[in-house]
Amino acid sequence: MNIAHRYNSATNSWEVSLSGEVDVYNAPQLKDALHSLLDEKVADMIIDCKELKYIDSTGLGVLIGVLKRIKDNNGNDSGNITITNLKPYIEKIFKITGLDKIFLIEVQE
Amino acid sequence: MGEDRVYLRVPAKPEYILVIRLTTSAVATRAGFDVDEIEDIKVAVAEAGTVIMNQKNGVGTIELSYKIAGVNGIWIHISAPETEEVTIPYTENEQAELSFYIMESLMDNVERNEKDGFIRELKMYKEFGG
Repeated sequence: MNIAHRYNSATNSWEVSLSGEVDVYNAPQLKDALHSLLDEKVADMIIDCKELKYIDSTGLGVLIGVLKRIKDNNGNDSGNITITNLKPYIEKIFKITGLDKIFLIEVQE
Repeated sequence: MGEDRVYLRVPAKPEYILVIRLTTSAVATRAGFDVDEIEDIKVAVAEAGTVIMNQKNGVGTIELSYKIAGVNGIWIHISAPETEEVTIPYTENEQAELSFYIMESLMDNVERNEKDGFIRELKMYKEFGG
């Protein structure tokens, strides 16, 4: 798993690129990385998953926790995580778990 | 293909989930499933391994048994045979709920052998074309 990030001041959001495979082994690493961004500045996130090959429930749990923190910080339930370029077979996991309703999802063409 | 069986035994440590995924993918390929079905089986079995693994801190083992059931499909049993003490019942783990949504959606049948909030074994079945 690899994570790259930059802050986009124009959109006031973190742009994160997530690649490889996320599972129970490296999900703690993903959690630390994303929360450290929020420690620096709480803002919406756009996570590019173009090179993401696999994510399991522990990885999804990390994303849920990060979204919760953004919304809790903003109050009135505002704040979003946009997940872009999802592969169709990974989008299927988001749909099964209902997470396509809480994240903004864009599927890879 | 007749009723071929494949067995895998790995330490119940997060770093071995990759071994479970790769082996499951290989067995499903050999059984004759298509690409989408192989992905479903791989994801479901890895979730099962994660649920069982997350019930206990410390080293144990996870055993997987794959039975390719002729022309019909595949049965996979995932168990923790040596685990005697559970430190984190799966019912207290919110993650497990997500895992079960995934397993039950991707497989044609999922059975739990559980007692006192502890899952000792999960059995799942996927039919060809299912």
